[in-house]
Amino acid sequence: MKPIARIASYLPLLAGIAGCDHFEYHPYDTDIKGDCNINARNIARIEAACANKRTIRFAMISDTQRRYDETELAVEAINARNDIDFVIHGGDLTDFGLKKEFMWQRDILNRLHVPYVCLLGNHDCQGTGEEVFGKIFGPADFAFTASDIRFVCLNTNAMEYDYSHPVPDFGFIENELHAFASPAVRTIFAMHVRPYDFQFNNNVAKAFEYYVLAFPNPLFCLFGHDHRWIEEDIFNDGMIYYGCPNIAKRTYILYTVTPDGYSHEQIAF
Amino acid sequence: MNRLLFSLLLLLPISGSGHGIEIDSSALRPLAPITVTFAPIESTVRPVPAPKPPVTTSAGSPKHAPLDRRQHRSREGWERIIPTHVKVQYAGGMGFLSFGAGWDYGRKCQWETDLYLGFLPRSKAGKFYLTATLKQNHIPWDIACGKRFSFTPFYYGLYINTIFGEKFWVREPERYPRKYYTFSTKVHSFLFIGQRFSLHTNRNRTSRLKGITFYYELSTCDLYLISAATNRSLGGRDIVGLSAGVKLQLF
Repeated sequence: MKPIARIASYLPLLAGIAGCDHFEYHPYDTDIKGDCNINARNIARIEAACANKRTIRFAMISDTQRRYDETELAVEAINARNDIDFVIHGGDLTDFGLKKEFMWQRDILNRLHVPYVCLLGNHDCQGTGEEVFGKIFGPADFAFTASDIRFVCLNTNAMEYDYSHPVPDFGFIENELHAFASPAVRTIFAMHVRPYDFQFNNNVAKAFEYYVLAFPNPLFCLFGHDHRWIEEDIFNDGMIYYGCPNIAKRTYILYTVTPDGYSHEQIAF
Repeated sequence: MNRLLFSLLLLLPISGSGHGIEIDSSALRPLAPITVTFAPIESTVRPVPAPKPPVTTSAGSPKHAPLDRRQHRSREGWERIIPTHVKVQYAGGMGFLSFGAGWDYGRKCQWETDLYLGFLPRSKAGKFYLTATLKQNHIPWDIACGKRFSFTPFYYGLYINTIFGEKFWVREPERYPRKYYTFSTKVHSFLFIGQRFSLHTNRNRTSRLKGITFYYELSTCDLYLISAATNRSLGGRDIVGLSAGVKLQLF
């Protein structure tokens, strides 16, 4: 083979570069390309869209780590209907806490027609994951009001912090309690890890529940992490905790909250 | 910008002085067998044989210079532990910048083993981190382009990178049950392919610098491969990263 022909035969290698001009410094660097601060922006959309609604309907998905195909299917399934106001992701977007995993998930979830918010999962805390989550989605503890319901979303992955950071953050919870204001009159809690899971700071499980019940009209609590549908009155006090299946189960949970009550439904896709 | 840079990298040897050209046999001749030449060497026809003729690469016709003119003659004894080259690499999942030294070996210097120390600045990772990398290259072919240039159309290899910092571990800390997490956040292995372009500068025997090589690589790491292998929606473009570097040949 002539030298020039030989060189030409390696041209496809450069074709690969044509589609890839990304210099990556490290899998755990925090040099994020593209959309950031998604939760705050989507919360503004949710609050604006639900402000005058009496009934809201939201979908919950969770534990989409390393299941990009199923996450795409979930986005398509949710986009196929027009009666959903927003989506809550219960955490564990990533398996390894890699920056690229967050970006891949973000790029799929951004195809949702309705706004969504993401919670921090324990896998999302690996390496520099929490910092990347903070940049792409926002703080791990956050809250928003849809219709007359205050959604309090909490980081409960205590084991990942080894007591270096208060998890759950009662300072945040208490601020939310004191700042609770109209139009909100009811409360829904969302977290990745439920009380009495190994990850949870179980020394304060009862104190956590005490605060949950102190909020005005707490309806129910949502969580992920267990990868299966769970409906449990954990503390035997009437407060139901609903566990969301992981995305591999090809199921999302649809919650409808009316002025009189609420209902839930498992939707397979 | 990157695309332009690498397109130029490819075009340089094509637009160069060509191949199979007649070579002035008196132009470059190693001094003694102990020296390692990493340069275009003379044609196999030698009007005046040297006292101890160096081992030449196999060539078909005596009228044509061999295409791959890399040559390697071992240094002796303890000299062998001196690195034959130093490298600086930008990006590639092993740090923002990595500084390395390494050894080439094999009959045509086709093997290279490098050790790098790199860093991630605060602006890229939130905190300053140090990294270390062990890299193995195999460079099967080299195409000489004129007397002073050569082009490596394809080479490949792997590297293992570790990042220093208490956030990262090989096995999860003791507070977790065993196998709670089944992966390492500290040590990552990468596969890569790349191309090189070399300028040989050892005409001046007094200079320490024998050659400068520019390279770029496409790489991916173990955790990306696991992710792509189990998802149809992830493709090569998602998992491949780019890196570039310079190698200075000292021996």
